[in-house]
Amino acid sequence: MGSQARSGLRHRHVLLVVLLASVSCSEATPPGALDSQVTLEPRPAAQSSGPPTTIRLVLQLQQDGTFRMISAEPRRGEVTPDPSVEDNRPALAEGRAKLVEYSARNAGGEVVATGRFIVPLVAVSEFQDPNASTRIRHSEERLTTPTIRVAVPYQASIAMIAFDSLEPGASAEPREWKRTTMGEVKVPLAPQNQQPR
Amino acid sequence: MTRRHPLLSPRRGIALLAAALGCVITVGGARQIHADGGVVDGVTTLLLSGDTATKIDLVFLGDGFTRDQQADYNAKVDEAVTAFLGAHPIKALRSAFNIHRVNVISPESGTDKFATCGTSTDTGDSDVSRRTAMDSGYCNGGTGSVYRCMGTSNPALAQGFAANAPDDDVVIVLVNDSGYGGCAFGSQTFLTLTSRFAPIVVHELGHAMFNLADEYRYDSDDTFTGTEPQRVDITIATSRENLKWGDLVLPGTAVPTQNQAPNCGKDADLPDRSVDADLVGTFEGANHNRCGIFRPQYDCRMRENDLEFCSVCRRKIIRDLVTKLNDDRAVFFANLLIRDDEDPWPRGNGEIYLHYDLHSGGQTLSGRWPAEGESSFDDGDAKDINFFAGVMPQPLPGEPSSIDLRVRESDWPDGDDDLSSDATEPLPVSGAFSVDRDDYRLNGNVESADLRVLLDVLNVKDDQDGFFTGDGDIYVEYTVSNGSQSVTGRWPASDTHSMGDHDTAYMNVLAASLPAPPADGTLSIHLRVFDEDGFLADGDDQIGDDTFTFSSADDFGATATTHVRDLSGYRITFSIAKRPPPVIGRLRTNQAGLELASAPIRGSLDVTRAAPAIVRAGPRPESHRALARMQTALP
Repeated sequence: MGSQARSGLRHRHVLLVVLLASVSCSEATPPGALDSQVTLEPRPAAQSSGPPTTIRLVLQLQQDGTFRMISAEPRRGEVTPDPSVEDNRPALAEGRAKLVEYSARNAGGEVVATGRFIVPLVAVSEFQDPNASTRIRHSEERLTTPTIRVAVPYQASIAMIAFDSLEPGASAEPREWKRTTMGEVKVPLAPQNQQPR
Repeated sequence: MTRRHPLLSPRRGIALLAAALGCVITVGGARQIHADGGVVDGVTTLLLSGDTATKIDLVFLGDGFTRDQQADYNAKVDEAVTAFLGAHPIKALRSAFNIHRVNVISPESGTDKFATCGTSTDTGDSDVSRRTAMDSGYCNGGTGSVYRCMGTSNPALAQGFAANAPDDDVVIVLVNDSGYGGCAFGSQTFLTLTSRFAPIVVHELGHAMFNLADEYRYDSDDTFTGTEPQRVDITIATSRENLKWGDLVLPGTAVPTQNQAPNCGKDADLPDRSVDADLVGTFEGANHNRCGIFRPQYDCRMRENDLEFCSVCRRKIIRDLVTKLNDDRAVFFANLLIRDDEDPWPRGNGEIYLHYDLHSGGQTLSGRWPAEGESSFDDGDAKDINFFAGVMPQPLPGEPSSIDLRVRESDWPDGDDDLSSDATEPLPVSGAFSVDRDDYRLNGNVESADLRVLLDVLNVKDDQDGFFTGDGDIYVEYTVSNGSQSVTGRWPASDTHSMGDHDTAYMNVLAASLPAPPADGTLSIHLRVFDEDGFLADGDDQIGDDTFTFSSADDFGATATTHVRDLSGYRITFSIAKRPPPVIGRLRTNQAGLELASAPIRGSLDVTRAAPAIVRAGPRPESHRALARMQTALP
């Protein structure tokens, strides 16, 4: 091993001399992979073209268990997907989250959209602690009146949205869980406001 | 057009008046504004990949930045975006996102701090009150008991400012303070600006976007006693048979792979990290618990902020994003003709290399061919290159794609020579292109490419370094072929990567983006792994030369897969992501009937926007049983 290393060292010295003498006549290196850099070109924000796809609701859960609507705006965005019940079952069982089902109705009382969303009842605090052996630290803050954003399917005719909370039961299907009415909110979509901002 | 927050409207005067009075008011009878005097100073889209109805829209807000500090805020957002888009595999999948920055001017700099917080009587801070746009502060804005929970006394303020962006699926609020603080409220996260805040942003987005669990545990916490968690990156399984990431665990890897010490490791040192960093197994300690729950690898970005995502998290990210990717365009350089090599030396060939900038869709992708060194051309030489230059978004309306090209001949020591003048040429949306100048001609093509091959992690078992005791100088040459087209590449792009025996390197390479092979076709990945033998005359040592073949139907038909290949000299992990056809509709219903489509309907069927079914509702709960809804994912 030692003699192999010494032999290699001699080879290196000889080759280095040859390289310095011949300057730039080394063999071309095989084409390599791109080590590309992506540069973004910022631009003033603009709405995507097309009709609104969602109504963006900002809701505050009040201490009496009902929602207060802070805002409702037509947007071109993604509908908040129904949450995975299994993903959230532990948090629901521990009272760390609430599963809410909504039904949006028009002025005639017809249901035009339904869906579900999660209201987190805790905020998760994570921060870097340089003095701890586990550098990320974690704790939870109980929220009494959480504020959430939910995007529901857009329908120009929506006039009111009603909410029910679903409490986890033995069944895998939340439809069979205990349902508690959480009231309803009016959705004031004036005709002139029915396009995304 | 830049839109303005309502505080900029005539209501602003009322708001400012209320700010002076320090009160909460109701404006127009509908919207309640806690008037802390925040003003929107512009909304900028940093990354525009497409329709907000189909993309994940990430929004950055800043609190406690005055007018004079907006440049600081912009720099911090850039830092966070760079960290996020630089993380593997997100870099290769960036067309799933739009990213927006909302500039909000606060009257005062900083954030609120509190000397006492809930049951904590001494936080180490003095009471500090700042008038900021979103009224942020520790102790959840002064309303909570966890000191490090950076939040706000009025979440509606941040929601209101976020609404200035075209859409706001996920919101990050950067708070202008250097203390340690952060708190996640569903899809909205408040974060302070410590020196290492940018990696934390990526960790938090791992939660908010991909539902990944924390993989760290606490020094003093105890045993997890719950049922199997649904999150993909933690488990209570102690056998290979029911392990949800079992396909990534090699046959020789023990399960569990690493346990805590007896008595749940209390008073014991942490399990050491002597295992190979890329090895997937089950490692005890995750989800803030010391025992009873396992993570897939020793380390992961969900455990330590500064690291890369582990294989299980990476696969989850790819699977979540692959359906949101654009019909991006792969740019290939097919062949290069050199008419005049500019080489004055009588002994012959010019040493040619080129730099390029591809402009498309609000992005510029810059690179070099060859990545290292030059390629030898004589006058009149035409050589096939087969070089994958990168993936570009499709052009935006009115902004055609283009390429800037600078071709050079290496001419040490008096400076390199230009071949013709630097060129700028338009690029087609699809098809062949040519940059033709007096001294050279580059032919290439632009293709819709729905298949991506990502090289993730390399572990070298034996670095083949027989010289002294140092690490091997490792590099990998690869060729990816879809049966009709091949591209070649090299990692690292320039020079080598120093690795000793059993070292792991995160390659993080988008090796190729190609049209997927037909249903009966195959994809092949040919790898050659070397230890460069420096100045030794006996050539580089080959650690491996292997070809992996995949059937498109069985191996990656319509989703994303991650593969581990364990060879005698090395082990490699790579991923294949195939973008499925766009979603054209999704029919949903409940027990009451109608046809159930549990998976998105995909294909090229021309479906126009359909009105949702409207069913007259009776008294609840009947109304919930008689409902059908059509979600149309495309306009």
